[in-house]
Formats: sequence, C-alpha cells, structure tokens
Amino acid sequence: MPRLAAVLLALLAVGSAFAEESLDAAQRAQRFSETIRPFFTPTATDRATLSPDGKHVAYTLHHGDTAYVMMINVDDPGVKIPIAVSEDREGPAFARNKIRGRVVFLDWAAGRRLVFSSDLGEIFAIDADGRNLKKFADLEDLSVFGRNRRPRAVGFLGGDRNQLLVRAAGGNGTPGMVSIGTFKIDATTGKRVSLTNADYRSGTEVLLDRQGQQRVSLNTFLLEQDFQVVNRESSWKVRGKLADNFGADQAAFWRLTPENYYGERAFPIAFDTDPNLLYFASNIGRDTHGLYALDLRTKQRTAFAVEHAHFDLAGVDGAFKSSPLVFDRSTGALAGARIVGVRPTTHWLNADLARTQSEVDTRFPSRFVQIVDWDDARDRFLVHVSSASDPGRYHIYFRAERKMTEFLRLAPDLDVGALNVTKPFEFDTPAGIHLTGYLTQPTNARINPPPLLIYCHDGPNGRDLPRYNVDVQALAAMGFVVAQVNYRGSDGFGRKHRATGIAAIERAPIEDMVAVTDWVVARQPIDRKRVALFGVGFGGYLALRAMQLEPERFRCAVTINAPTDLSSWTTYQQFNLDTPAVMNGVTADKPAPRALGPAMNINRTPTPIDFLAAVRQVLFGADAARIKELSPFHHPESIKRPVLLIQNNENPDIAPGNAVALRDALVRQGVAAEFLRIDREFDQRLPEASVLAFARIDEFFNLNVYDYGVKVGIPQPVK
Amino acid sequence: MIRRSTTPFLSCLALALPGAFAASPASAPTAANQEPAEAVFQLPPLIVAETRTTAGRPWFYVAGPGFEVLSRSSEDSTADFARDYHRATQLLELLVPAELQVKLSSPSILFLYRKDMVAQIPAEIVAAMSGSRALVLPNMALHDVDLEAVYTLIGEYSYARDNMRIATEAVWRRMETRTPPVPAWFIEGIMQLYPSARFLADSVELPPLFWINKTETEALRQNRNHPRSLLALSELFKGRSQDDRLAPNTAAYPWKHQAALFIHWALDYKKRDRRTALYKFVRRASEAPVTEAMFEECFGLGFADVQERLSDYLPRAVDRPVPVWPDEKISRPKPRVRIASPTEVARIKGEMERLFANHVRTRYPSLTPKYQEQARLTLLRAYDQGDRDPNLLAAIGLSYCDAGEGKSARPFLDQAAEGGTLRTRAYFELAALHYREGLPPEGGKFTAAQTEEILQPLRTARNLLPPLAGAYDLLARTLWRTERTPTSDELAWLAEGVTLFPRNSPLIYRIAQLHVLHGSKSAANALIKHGLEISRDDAGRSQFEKLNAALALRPH
Repeated sequence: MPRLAAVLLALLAVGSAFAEESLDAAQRAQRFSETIRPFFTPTATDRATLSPDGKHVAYTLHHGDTAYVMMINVDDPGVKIPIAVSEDREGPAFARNKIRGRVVFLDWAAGRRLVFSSDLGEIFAIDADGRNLKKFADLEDLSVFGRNRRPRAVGFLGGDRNQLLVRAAGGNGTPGMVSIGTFKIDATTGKRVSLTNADYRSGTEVLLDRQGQQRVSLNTFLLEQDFQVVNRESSWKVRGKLADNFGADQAAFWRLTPENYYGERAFPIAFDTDPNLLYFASNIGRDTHGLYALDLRTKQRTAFAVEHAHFDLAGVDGAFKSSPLVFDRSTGALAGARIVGVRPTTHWLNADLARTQSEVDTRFPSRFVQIVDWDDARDRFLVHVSSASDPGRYHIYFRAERKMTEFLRLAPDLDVGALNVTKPFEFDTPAGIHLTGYLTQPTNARINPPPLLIYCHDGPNGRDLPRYNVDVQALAAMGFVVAQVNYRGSDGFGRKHRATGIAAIERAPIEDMVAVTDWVVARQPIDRKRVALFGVGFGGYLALRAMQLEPERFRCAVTINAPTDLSSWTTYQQFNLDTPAVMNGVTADKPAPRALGPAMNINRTPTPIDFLAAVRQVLFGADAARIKELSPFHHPESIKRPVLLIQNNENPDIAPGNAVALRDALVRQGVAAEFLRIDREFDQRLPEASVLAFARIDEFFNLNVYDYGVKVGIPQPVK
Repeated sequence: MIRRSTTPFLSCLALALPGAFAASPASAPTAANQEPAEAVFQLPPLIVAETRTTAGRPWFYVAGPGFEVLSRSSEDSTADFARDYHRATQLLELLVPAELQVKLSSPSILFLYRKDMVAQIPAEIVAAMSGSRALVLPNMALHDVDLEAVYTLIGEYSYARDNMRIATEAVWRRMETRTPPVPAWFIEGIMQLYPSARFLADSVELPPLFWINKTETEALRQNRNHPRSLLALSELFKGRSQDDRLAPNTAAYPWKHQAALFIHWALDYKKRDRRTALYKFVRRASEAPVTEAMFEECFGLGFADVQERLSDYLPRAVDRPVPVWPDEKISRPKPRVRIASPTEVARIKGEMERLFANHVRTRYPSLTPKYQEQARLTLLRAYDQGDRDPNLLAAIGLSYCDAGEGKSARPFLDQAAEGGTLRTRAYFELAALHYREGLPPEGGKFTAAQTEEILQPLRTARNLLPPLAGAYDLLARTLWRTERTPTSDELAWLAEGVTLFPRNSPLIYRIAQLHVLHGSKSAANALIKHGLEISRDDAGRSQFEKLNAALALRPH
C-alpha cells in the first residue's frame, strides 16, 4: 500500500510538474502573442490632408468595422465631423480577418470642399462644415465611367483645383484588351466630363498628364518594352516611341528589357502642369537615378535636375509608380522631390519650403519629418513625423507662432514605450563596401547580452525602407537586436551597389550580412553564439545560402516564402499546382488541392510573358548546373543548422511543396528543420495570422537560440 | 514668477504649516491674488526682552541632520517640530534630491517661538508706521548668502504635524542657489508641481498636471487624442533668461508646463530607472550644456522618443496624481531635546535678529536701527560674558559688516577665522576687508604679502559651503591687481568659479579679462565666447566684444 501511494504521489508530482510547465509555456506564448498583437493591428489612420485655407484637417480613421473620414477644425479641435465611408466585409471562406474598408483617396478641392473615395470605387465630396455631401461615383451605377470600368480618383487637374480627375479602367469585352478612360468632375456641382477613352492590350500601363490626357503607355507583357506616345486621336495608333524625343544614342536606354532592368536606363515619371514638360528619371552616364525634365516641344532637356550622389531618386520599377515629385497645390508648380534614402527627406525647389523643412526638422531629431500639405498662405503646414519604429503622427506647424501641434497618431493604441527603437545605420565594410540599414534594439531583452538577428529583405529588386516594419518589431519582441541590411543588389543605392550584388548574387549579400554582424558586434554587447537569420522571399533564399556558406556564424534561420529552388523560381510559370515537387528523386508532399477556396488560386493564370521571371533568368544565367548548384533545395546536405521554413503554397512566386520537401530532407539528415504553412492573410500581415505565425517563430527561436526547450524558467546559456 | 514676488509677505516663507497658519497667506504657494487689501506692515517679531510671560522659561535646543533648533516652546513641541521638519526635508528630497539643493557648511537655524509668548510690536515702531496696522509675521524664512534660517511661531498644540512641508519659496531658493546652478526647466517644473503636491506620511503625491489652462486640461481629460502643442526637448532644456522665466504660460509658450510634464513623467514610473535618469540628467545639465547625447546617456532614449512619450503621457498626467515613494522607509529618529546653552541661545537668537534687521532694512529702512540694536545686544551680551564661540564671533562680525562698519567687524572676524568658524561669508568679508585696506592707488599693485593676506581667508572659504560668487570675484580682482603672476593653481581656482557660476556674466568677464592680461589666449577666447552666449543684453555683449577685440590685438 505505501508503495502504491508512493507511485501515485510520484505520478501526481510528474503530472503537476507537467501541467505547470505546460501552463508556463502556454502563458509565455500568450504573453508573447499579446505583446506582438498591437504591432500587427493596422493603423487607424492612413492619410491626412490640410485644407487650402489651413483651417481644417481631414483624415481617415478606421474605427470598429468602418472606415471614416474625419474633419477637424484646426482652431477649435473639439469640433469633429465623422463621415462613414466604407464598412469591413466578409473575406473568403475560413478567412480569420474581414476585408478592411478603406478610404483610398482624400484631398481638398478648391475652397473648403473635401473629396474622398472608398476602396469600392465610390467617390464623394463634402463641405468642411459637413454640408452638401455629394456622391460622384455610385456603386449602383459605375457604368457611367464605362462598362466594366472601375473609377479611381487620382487628383485634381493641373491649374484647376475644383476639377477632380478620375481614371476608370477595366476590360472592354475583348479578351486580352483593356479600356482606360479619364474624366473630370466638378467638385462643387458634380458635373462629369469625359476627357479621354482608349483601349490597350492587357498589361498596358498609362501615364496621364495633369490635364487628364493619356500620354504615354507601356505594355508590361512584352519582353522588350518601349514607352509609347499615345495618339490622342486614335488609341490604336501610336505617335511613336517616347525615346524618339531623345537622341538616337539614348534610344536604347529608354527601352526596358530584362537585360537592362537593373542597369543603365531612363523612364518617365510625371507631367508638369505645362503638358509639354515631362519629368523623367535617368541613370544614363551616372550611378544613381536622377530626376530631369524634357520639353516635348523642343525635345530639349530643361535646366531642371535633382540628383543625389548615393540614392536613386526613383526605383528600378519606378515607371508609372508613385511619383517622387511634389507639386504645390495652390500654384500647381513643382515644389520638390522626395528622396527615400536611408532617412526620407525632401529636396525642396522652393526656398520658403526648404526653410520651413529646416525649422520643423530641428524639432524632431532622429525622426523622419515630411511636410505633407500646406495652406495657400504658407502659414500652416501639415507635417508627418515618423520613424523606422513608429508609424508616426500628424502635426500642424504654425509658422508665424513657431508652434507645433500634434493632431493625431496613426496608431493611437500602439504604446510607444513598448515599441522597439529602430535607428538607421551606415558604414563602410573593411572591403570598402558602403552598407546601410536599420538596427532595432529590443525594449525587453531576454538575455544579456542579447542575440542578434540579421533580417534579409525580399529581392533582388527590394530594399529595407525607412518605415515601421511589423516583422522587425515582432522579432525584436523576441529579445533580438535586429539588423536590416541593404545588402549589395538592393534597390535604391545606385547601379554600382546593385550591380556588384547582382554579379555575385549568391555570395555578395552573404558577405554583407557577415560584415554587418561584425559591425554590430564591435559596437554593442551581442552574444556572438546567438546570431540568427530571418529572410523574406528572396531574402529567405539568402538566409539559407548564409546557413550553407557560414554555418559557424549563424545559429539558425527562419525563411518565409523562400525560393529554395532557383530553377523553378526563375521560370515559375512552368510549374503546375497538381505536380508534386521532385527533389533528388524524393517526392514532396502533395500540395493542397485547389478546392480549398476561390481566393487561394487567384492570380495563378500565367501572364503571356512574365517580365520579372525573365529578369531573374538574366540574373542567374542559363547554366542549369550552376542554378542547381546555388539552390539549397538541391543541396540540403550543406545545411547543418536548424531552419524553420514558412511557406504559403498559394504564393505564385514559389513552387509549392519545395519547402516541405526540403524540410523532410533536412530532418532525414538529422537537422532540426520545421515547416509552417501560412496563407495569404499572413502574407498581408493581417493580425490573427501574423500573431499565430510569429508565436511559432518565437517557439522556434526559444528552442534554437535561447535553448529554452520545454523547460521553463530562467534562460540557460547554450553549451 | 510669483515665487520671487516683491511682496515681502509672500517671498519670505520657510515652512508651510497647516492648521492655524495654513489658512494664512503665508503658506500659500502661489498667491498673486492674495495681495493684502490694505496697507499692513508685516514685521518679524522684535523680541526686545523677556516678558513676564516668558521669563523663567527655558530655551530648548535640538540638533538634527543639517539643522539646529532653538525653541521657546515646550520640550515636546520642540521634539515634534524637529522630527517633522526632518521628515519634511526627507519628503522634499523625494522630489529634489539633496544633491540638487544648495549645501551649507553651517546648519540651518530653526527658531521656534510660541505665539502666545510674542510681545506686541513695540509702540515706537507702530508710531513710526504713521498709524498703519502692523502685524507680526507668523512664519518666515530668512537667509544670508551662507545661512538659512527660519523662525516660526507655533501654538503649543495647534499644528497638524503630518502636513508640515518646506515652503515653496524655500524650495525654490534651495535649487536656485545651488552651485553649479540647477537648470531653469527643472526649477520651474518643480515649482509647477510642488505647491499642490500632497505630503503624506511616507510619500509625496504629485497632483494631476495642470496643462496650459482649464480648457486645455479639461479637453485632455475628456479626450486623450485632443491636440496638444509641445516644445521640442532641445527647446525645453535650453537655458532661459529671466524674462523667459517670468513669461506667462500660454498655449504658444508651454515651457513651464512642459517642464512639469517632463518631471511628472519621469517620476511616474514603477521602475526606478526613470527617476534615477532624471536626477542624473539634471546633475549633468547643471554642469554642461544639454546635448541629445547627454540625454540619451541618462534615459537611453533620444529627444524625439521622449517627446512622443510625453505627448502620449499628457492625457494621463492631467487625469491622475502620481505617488512618489522613497527607496527606503523614511527614518524617524527621535530628537534629543535639551536645555540650550547660553552660547547657543545668544548665537542663534542673535543671528536670527541680525537677519530680521537685514530683512527690515530692505523694506522698512527706518525701522532698521531698532532691529540692529536688538541683534547687537543679544550677541554682545554673550561676548561680554566671555563667550568666544567662533560662530558667535562670526555673527557679531557679520552684524557689523551688515551695518557697513568694517573696522569694528575686523577683530571679530579675525577671531572667528582663527577659531575655525563654518561661516563662508565670514572669511569672504575678512578677505574683502584686507582688500579694501590694502587697495593701492589707481595703477598700483598689491604686493605679494598683501595678496597673500587677501587670498588666505579665501582659501579657507573655498573649502566651505556654499561657494560664494563674490569670493571668486574678489580673487579675480586681487589677481588682476597683484604685482606677481597668478600661479596655475590660482588659475584653476578661477576656472572652478566659472564652473560653479556659469551664468554670472560679471564674474566671467573679470576672469576673461585676467586671462587677456596674462596672455592665456585660448582660455580667454573660451570665456569670451561663453560670455557672449550668456549675455542677455547689448551692454553685456558689448563688453565681451570689446574684450575680444583687445585679445585680437595681443601678439600671439
């Protein structure tokens, strides 16, 4: 009997210890989830704008299940006018999050009239006092903009701020064709006038001038893309290539091909209020993309030139994307150019604005300070102040009084004290490479000295941007010092930086990560034995390469949607969802069937020509043996350290099943490899999916960096 | 800046006592609206002689850390008072640590008198007031450059002990006269919070913050997203001129409120790090101009980081009080009260009366002789009875100095110095007497012996607290007119003066002048640059510019 009692007692003890451990682990996981959840909560406010008279601020606010436009009286901020614009909608089946209602356009017309539009295409206008609400585009009758065409407010006509410019695009009924129309709408009366209509082949993008005319087109479904001057009389004919406006010696630089994608070339950016003045970006004969202007009448470049010695002023994928140019709302004149750089700045062409920028800059050292709007009298300025670790706040700067008033936070529920502080860095490596990036310090380090995590951004044509990064915040919440590195090959730092990376894409970025590791370790206490990698997309590939090339430096890696097999990545249209991935004769798990949900298979139709895939092929060359050699998928034996492979099998960029196959191969050779399947909600960093995935990532690091194992308590050093 | 009001009634408080005195304007922290309605002369007591009521009652004495009490109240009241004063000092140190207050070598004097023992204002004084009403001030702080004194009239049982606090004016003075000077933003921030703070048994509770005006404060209480205007921290921490500090608080000029907000934030934290960081930062800021690197070294956060935190904290600050607890439980030592010795009675009472006289001189000059006579009587009576206590001698010497009778002061000061008095001013006055006595005609120089005679007492003064700006000024004047070259030690001594009094423009000028004279170009340059930065008016700047021009003319 006593023996039985002893056994029972022992069992009870084991049971309670187990329960305690489980409870502790669960509590720890829950605490971690609660810590990171706010990071992934979308900002309440996306944009704000100051009225031309400086007396009202309008901003977007997502509250509850609804997106609102709020109007606030600057001189009596107690008075607020809310306008419900768009409600959240149910997402696809099994989606954890609703589709968030959004306000996608918000700007003041002339006087005190505010124009805004919803993500569904509705367009409204209202007076600053909340009266005279008008709907210019109604979901019930969008056909007024053309059959199947969805309208989108894009701005105001140059020189007439009361005329809203609307672009409507959609299929024209003929397969392989799209129809694009432009309209102007009187912001006061709602009178709509059609400006242009044209049909194009699918994949065509169009640059409008500031009078709403379609001026330049580019068919992105071609391998050799030329900017075409649109014929205003007939959309079927073109006036010729834009390149014809430049000398014959420059024509080749205006053609976009996979070969010159990362190289020397030029592309249009925007038109001036003067429709004959075209702004363009070019790095012809120089390292970085500068901004210039061409007078289309004389075919001569004007004196306008904004250049930066170290930073591209337009991205390599910059044609027709968001323009870096800033125009003065009241005069219509070009006022400045935004420079992303390591810290975002604005090159003001106007001395008055430059002086104001300098005044506001001094008030927020180490912050990114961007003048967003100003009133016509240039006495009040709407200023966005942010950092790489905070979505930021809107202030109004009252210049006469030299007073700065904070009006709203983009994420008011985010506790700034809980945010992990991120600061830009730059340095020259011993090899003379100038590297930039961001370093985030954990607010609550778990061990001292803390571990280091090298964050590898997606690429090759990607970069780390000077803005709030939710992944980095979540990783720093795990106690890591996080270093984001703009490794060679990254976009935005000139041709040389890009080219040296691209020339040795499988090695140079790794060298840069090593250099950054050494640089950080030399400057602050870091546990050298605990340096891990985290890579997104192509950055995930680099993380795996680093594990292969530098196994002694990096303790483990987490990859998200990493292209482990470069051969499929460079030709990804060729794989078929129903064909299991094959690796070294091993058949990987069969990917999920298509029937799981309609949303999961959208965008799977391959484009006739995938330009980016062609760029990748140029990048890695045609040598199949070399591509195989560089693919971790084909050389799992060279990965000796733990990895967590995270993949969305619906991501069209990667062969489904590769990650699982690689995981299995690694496990067979005794490496602690794990696989986590994610979905589009995580790719979009929606809160629930992100919290779940990062909790799993935390678990992985607990095991492999902190060595917590299942034992709970004070972290033990790794032997 | 009402704490420096010219109204004597308001500017002279030392202890804010509740109960019988709490309702009096004397205990009001901010009282611009409490100007006396009629012309009333408020005077310190003139304790002419023992009255029938007081005769035969013993004087009690008790010494505490940094203070001593001479009391004519009961033994128990004296003990309670001493203990409560000690506690009030400790509670003050929760907000303003001792290291950020002025330090004195001489203990502060607390002179406790029962109000029912106070004689009426003598008839001749009332007569001198042309029939106006004269009242005895119930509670008053007086000070010399090296001495803090408080007299308090209390009822035997009428003061609520737990609520005793150091009066706002005295707190301000302790920070303002600290060397090197405590930054203006810290002083003003504390002054915004201190008057409404609650002093509990073992902690202080800071009040909810008052932000700009009632409307703004209420708006923030109602809506945490209400817009708010904050200065950049670099602007907050910038040195302030007197004019700036006197400026009213407005929405456009929230400097004082933001200083209070910053302190509120730094103290409102469960962890100790932020409070420690605050005091480290104040200490560093009192020694050198504020930089963001300095700030970051203390708080681990940059200016913009903390500015954002302040902005987010503001709605909370206006909404709730913040308790400030000590690291360790406040000690409550039992005071050892004893019968005061005749020397102690004479010295403390005489010192008190000397300070009464100084106080009266600045406000009612015609009454001064009566008070001076009374002080002299008290002090000399003990001296005549053979008392040679060095601090008593210093008090006698200083009383002569106060009256402008240097020659009479000299023997007492010599004896006091010889006896090792702790009064810094006694050594300074002695040096000044030597200076004046040996002053050579225009163009002449002090001999080495004369120089040594002046410097000797200054050297002793240098080792006592508080440092006196006048002593450094006298040192510079002496070295300017001495026939010998200043030694490197003496120049280092002067440099110490610059560190201790960095905003004292005349002193900086005099030292810069000396460096120009002796060809120390780099030192002179640095001082001239500093002088130009701190000069608040054209005249001040002009003299430094002239000195700069003179320096430029000197050969390399």
